[in-house]
Amino acid sequence: MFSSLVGPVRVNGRVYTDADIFELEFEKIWSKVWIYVGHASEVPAVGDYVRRKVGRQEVILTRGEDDILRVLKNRCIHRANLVCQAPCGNAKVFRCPYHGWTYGNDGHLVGVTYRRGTGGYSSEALEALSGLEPAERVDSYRGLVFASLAPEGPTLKEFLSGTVAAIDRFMDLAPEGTVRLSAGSHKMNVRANWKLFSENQVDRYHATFVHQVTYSLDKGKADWAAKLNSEGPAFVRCFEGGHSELDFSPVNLASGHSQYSAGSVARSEQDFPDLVSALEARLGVEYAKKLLVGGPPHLLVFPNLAFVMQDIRFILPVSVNESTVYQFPAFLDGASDAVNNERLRRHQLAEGPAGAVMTDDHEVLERNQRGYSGEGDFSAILERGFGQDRSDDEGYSVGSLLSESPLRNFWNAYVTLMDS
Amino acid sequence: MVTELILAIEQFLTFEADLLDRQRYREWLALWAEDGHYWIPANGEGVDPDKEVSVIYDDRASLEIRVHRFESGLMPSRIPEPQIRHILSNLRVSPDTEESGELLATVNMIVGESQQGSVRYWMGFTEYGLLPGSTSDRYQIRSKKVVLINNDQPLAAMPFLL
Repeated sequence: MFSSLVGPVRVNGRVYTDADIFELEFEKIWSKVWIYVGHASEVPAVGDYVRRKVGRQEVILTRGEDDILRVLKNRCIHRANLVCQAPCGNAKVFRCPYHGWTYGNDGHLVGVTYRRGTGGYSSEALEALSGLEPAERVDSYRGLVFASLAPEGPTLKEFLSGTVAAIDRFMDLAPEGTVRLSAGSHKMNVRANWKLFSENQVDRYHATFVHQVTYSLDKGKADWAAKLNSEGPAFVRCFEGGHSELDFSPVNLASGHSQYSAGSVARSEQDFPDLVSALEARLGVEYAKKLLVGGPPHLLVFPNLAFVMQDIRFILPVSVNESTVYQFPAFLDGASDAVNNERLRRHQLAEGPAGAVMTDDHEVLERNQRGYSGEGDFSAILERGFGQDRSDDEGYSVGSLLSESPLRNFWNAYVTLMDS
Repeated sequence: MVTELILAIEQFLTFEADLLDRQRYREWLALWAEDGHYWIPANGEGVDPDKEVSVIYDDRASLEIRVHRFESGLMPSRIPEPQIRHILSNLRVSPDTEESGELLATVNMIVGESQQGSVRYWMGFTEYGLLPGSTSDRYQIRSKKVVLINNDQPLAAMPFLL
């Protein structure tokens, strides 16, 4: 069915507006593939927790007394009430406010109120209950915790496929090889279908137009963007499973600087000599140069996770035409305060409700949604660069930077899942 | 004396809000002290803007860049220009003044924004650090911190200033 809505170079607008399709996505996508939940650094101490969602399933990412990270469904096994209400915190137990059932921070059932006596429970029935339901599968890669609500399926490593090299570049920029999300996040409400946001992460084509103002005020960045558009070697790379990345590094390495260069309103990691020498010592000059000059990865992990500059972004569905976007700046463990302050400053320049990039992205995505919500049978044209992709040395499909092949790759994975 | 002071501050804050509502940002910038900071914390009342995410944490130079952006005509989110209106109330003026003469004033705030056929509300309180200016009803803004009551929840895009 979905292959008739989503062709190789056309996408029917119904996929963004049809409530039945949106509903089916919970079964076919959100309850099936690996979904990013949070980062280990958000729950550094025993008892720390954050509330998140896997699709629309409320979950708690928690570090139990045994120091093990778990993703537990945030619903009392008695009558499904939320056992955890705060967005984050530290707790020995989660106590359901409805009838007082209590769980340890590892999820085990500590106690049932008024268990025995007149009108109590028959003990055999309750003995079988172990506690909060864990997500069916949980795994992590370099501190990124993912959950899958499907008991079986590809492993996380198989799911991430070729994206791990890009994720490695994001993490390896830290002298200690790990990042921390201690600064918290921006959360934004966008009145648009979640897929419009995912597509936008790997659509370089729009940047020159929607984000023209960021270039008009920043000579360094404008020079950089002009190089990207005129010099061929930057490209898009598609991975199996709908993931893709924009790789700016060939242009950056050739010119000697990444997005922020002379004349920019912000500084790049390569402008901090202590960070440069720490990375060269740990990783060697060549790889350090790839990280620092080549620039950070710009990656979409299907269906909803992105790595952009210093940020980890993800989007969650609220309704067919409403979503929540999360944006976390990642601090580099082992880097100086100066480096991390600059990463926070860059995050704030671009991200969040008042950020120079996000404000306009959100406005434009909301207008897309209104456009797709119109009458008639409408199909988007995703034809840029079609048939022009080639294979790189590692066998991944690559195309020119302004190609729409990352979008076609996203839809390919989408159709496979929805038709399964 | 106290009544006069409160009246003068109220007049000034009303004047400032009116400049924002009419988006006369150049005149608004002229109200700021050189070392001023405009801060909209995210996720609570804000502890350390150098360590945690803020919606906005701008020094004077960053504010100028923001205003330049607003006036560029290149922001899709400002076409058409946002229509907003501030309501300020519950003014409190701290009796303690700093040695510099800086006063702390706090107001509750609602900003209505016309959005796709309805009105979106931004609600919270604003703390001002005000330095005495050239006349009795003119101050210089040393700091302005806007704490939205829902800043830990998903917020909409804000292509204007509160």
